[in-house]
Amino acid sequence: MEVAINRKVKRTSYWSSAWRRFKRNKMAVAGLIYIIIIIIVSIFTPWIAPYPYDEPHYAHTFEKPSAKFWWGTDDLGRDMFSRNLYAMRNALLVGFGSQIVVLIIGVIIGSIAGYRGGLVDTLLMRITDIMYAFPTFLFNVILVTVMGRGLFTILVAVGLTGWAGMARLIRGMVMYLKHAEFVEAARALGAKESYIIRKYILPNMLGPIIVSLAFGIPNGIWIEAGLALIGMGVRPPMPSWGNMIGAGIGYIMAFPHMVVFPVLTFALTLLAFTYVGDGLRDALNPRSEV
Amino acid sequence: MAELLIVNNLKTYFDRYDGVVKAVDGISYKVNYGETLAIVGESGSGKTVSVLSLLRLIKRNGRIVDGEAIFDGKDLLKLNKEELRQVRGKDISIVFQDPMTSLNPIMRVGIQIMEPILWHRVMSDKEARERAIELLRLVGIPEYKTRVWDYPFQFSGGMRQRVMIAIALACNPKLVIADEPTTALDVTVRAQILNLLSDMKEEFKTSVIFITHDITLAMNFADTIMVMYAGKIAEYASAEKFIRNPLHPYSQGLISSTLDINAKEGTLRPIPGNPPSLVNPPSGCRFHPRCSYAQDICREVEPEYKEVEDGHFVACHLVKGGKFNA
Amino acid sequence: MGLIKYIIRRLFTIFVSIIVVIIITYVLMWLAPGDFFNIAQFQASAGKVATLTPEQLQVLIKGFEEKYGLNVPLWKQIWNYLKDAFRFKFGPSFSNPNEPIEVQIARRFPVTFTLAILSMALAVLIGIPLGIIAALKRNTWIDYISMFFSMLGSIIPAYLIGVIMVLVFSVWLRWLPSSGWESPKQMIMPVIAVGLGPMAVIARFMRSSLLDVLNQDYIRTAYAKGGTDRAVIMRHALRNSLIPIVTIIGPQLAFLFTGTVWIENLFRVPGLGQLFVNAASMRDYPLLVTSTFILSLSVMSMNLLVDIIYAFLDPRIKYE
Repeated sequence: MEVAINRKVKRTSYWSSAWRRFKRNKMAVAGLIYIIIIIIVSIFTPWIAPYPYDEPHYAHTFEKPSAKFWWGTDDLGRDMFSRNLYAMRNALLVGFGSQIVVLIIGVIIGSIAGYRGGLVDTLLMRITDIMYAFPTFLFNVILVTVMGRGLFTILVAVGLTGWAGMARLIRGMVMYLKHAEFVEAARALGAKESYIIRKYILPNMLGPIIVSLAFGIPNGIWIEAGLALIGMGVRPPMPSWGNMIGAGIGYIMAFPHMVVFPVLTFALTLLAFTYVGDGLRDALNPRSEV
Repeated sequence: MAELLIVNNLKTYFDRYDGVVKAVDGISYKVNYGETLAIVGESGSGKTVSVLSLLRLIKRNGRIVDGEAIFDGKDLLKLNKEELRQVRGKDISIVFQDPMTSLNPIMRVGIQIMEPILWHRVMSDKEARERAIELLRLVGIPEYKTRVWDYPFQFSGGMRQRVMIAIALACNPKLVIADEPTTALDVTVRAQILNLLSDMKEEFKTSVIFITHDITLAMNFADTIMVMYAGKIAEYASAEKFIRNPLHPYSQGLISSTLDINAKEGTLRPIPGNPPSLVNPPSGCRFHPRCSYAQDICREVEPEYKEVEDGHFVACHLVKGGKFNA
Repeated sequence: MGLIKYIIRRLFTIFVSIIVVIIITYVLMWLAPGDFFNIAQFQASAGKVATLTPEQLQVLIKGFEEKYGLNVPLWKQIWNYLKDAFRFKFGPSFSNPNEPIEVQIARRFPVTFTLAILSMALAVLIGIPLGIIAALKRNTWIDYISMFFSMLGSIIPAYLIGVIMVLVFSVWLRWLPSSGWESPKQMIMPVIAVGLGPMAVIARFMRSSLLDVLNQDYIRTAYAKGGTDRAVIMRHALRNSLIPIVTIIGPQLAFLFTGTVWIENLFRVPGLGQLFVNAASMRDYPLLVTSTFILSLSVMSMNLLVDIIYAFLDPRIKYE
């Protein structure tokens, strides 16, 4: 009975007070709303987009925004608005997908290193350090060169270059789990291990992991766009903010609308994720002040 | 005039998210030339804030709401920035509580001692350097000539505290305020530091305000004792009178909660309860929730702080005619 | 002395890391589907169209393989490469067999280096004062505005900044040229585009570092000794708060180098970044490996330099 009461108290105190703190941060909430909207839009893009992303209209190339083509057309007469929607969708796929990869790899490596300790740990941590030192974008380019260009390979490449931080966090968590004295004490008192993990370990460790994932998403997005910009991203006609900007640059003086819209949506999306990430970080770490 | 410092009705409040913290809520006392005053109390009693207020070194969210502090004829609380700066480190100096964090870790010790001297233009560069070396010798640092160029991390805790004392004495101040100078140190080192402070007192005739939570220390070391509780003064008397006749229940509690080798078993009596919130202090006498003698009047009316015998002040309803009537 | 040993240890780590990097890159190339070189690429560069008979193609491939030393097992290829790499001889590239890679690199390195140094100078010389001012004028409008722009600068990737700048300054205002690397006017936008990100990060970090330091006890001690605001800030606060900045300059430099990759592409600056991109898109593997090698080496050496400077600044390190 006492345990049940404690459970209620603990549940309301950490996560809901974190949510309360998050709500206080207006920019973070705005960002979250924006993200939810674009996720919904991305899911329904095939139904929402007025035109397919690869349908050319040769009679209407380079057109400025109009009633027919809301955001204008590009050099092949394709509708910019639809292409933007698909580009956003791809960006989100890479952003979220890459973090799943990061999580998987990070958890595997981090838990092995943390649990085994000793030589295995040192070895894995050395590898992690080297990953840290290596300029990630270069590595991404090489990986894409090798694995081929495509949404899935890019997503995996970003994940492959970004797991180092997550591995460190997981390792820390596992090591803490191994040795925590109160785990021993609670176990001695008869508490079930899952209860201990849920009530004590998870709140403390989950915070940095969530924040890391939250910041990893915009990271993935800009790598994807960056790759596309230099011609190493998804293959045309599949749109990406990167290749739309890259293609538009050549015509930027005469037809800036080809660049302006992707730039705006791209920047807004990055900003939204960053504000949310900041908000999460402050909400989950009650001691940050400055 | 024998009085170096007269403090009247000092009130310092802090603005916090959950309300106003009345850290110091109307205290008055005085310090004579050459006198050592000990301010005793638990953490949260307001003792540190009260002395930091004198030099206006309190945190940004604090403000001095009322009161005056007449030092050498001038009210410290009304001085402008530059005048205050001239008092700090020269006429009044502070030895802070934690020697680990109170020294700049990447600046050589000698320079940190020289700073007050140079800033107040007391001596030339060269003379200041010699004075710094001399001060290190005075506070008992071995190999002072070379150690003056060392960094704080190369000193032990006790020696760092000595360095802090050296800094405080650099310009020969009239008043030295020592905030729990021995709390962060080992017991063995404690005695050395205290001896050092008395020697300094003897030699330079400086007045000392000495903050501590250790009542025994106060009784052994001070000329006058002031006990603070929850931002107010509970009792104020010369050490002699205090030892002979501690009147306030809190003072009595402090004394009986100390360890005494000679005492019989079972006589260790801590004061029950916790220090009160300073945002919403208890009604009436602030000590009443923890006082075993509390009466109805204690719960309702705040006791007046008055002189009950010559030079002996108390704030307690149960003290009449210089005696405690339980 | 402790410092010398530290430097030697770090150099060794760099050496090992670079070798690992090269090996990984090589292995990845080898794993790529298809042959080690792209037949179409080869044919294109040789000017021939796909009208060769299979036998002729085989001869061509064999010649190619011999020329580039590809007919030996992988580990030997790696070994050959490494042997010469540290003497800075990299052999010819696929796409441009007449000009040895080291010559191309020698020509392009100064360009990228200049871009990097100028950008870093911008980031430091503006970022640090900006952070200081924001901290000293905490919670005023100056603080809010500079920190908002810093935030923008640190999130928005360098190439996006570059594109926005081109949009504003070349298209709209027509003040600055949108490509090239000859005149100072041409250099303005690339330098700002590369340096803005690090500048923003440095500014934010400086602000929080200074605020942190100002909260420390020894600042209170300095005031208690009779210090003026000026004396306390200049002698105690600044020095202590600048030291941690050095630790983030290292990672920022690494970031900066990756920024040059895009910016050189965008503004047609003939540096290493451009070389790298060309190599990647044309599957020019020797070039790719080598430019990776050079870029990584630059980044790691810069990091080492930064760490040495840090050791000098913080007396506590020296005695460990």
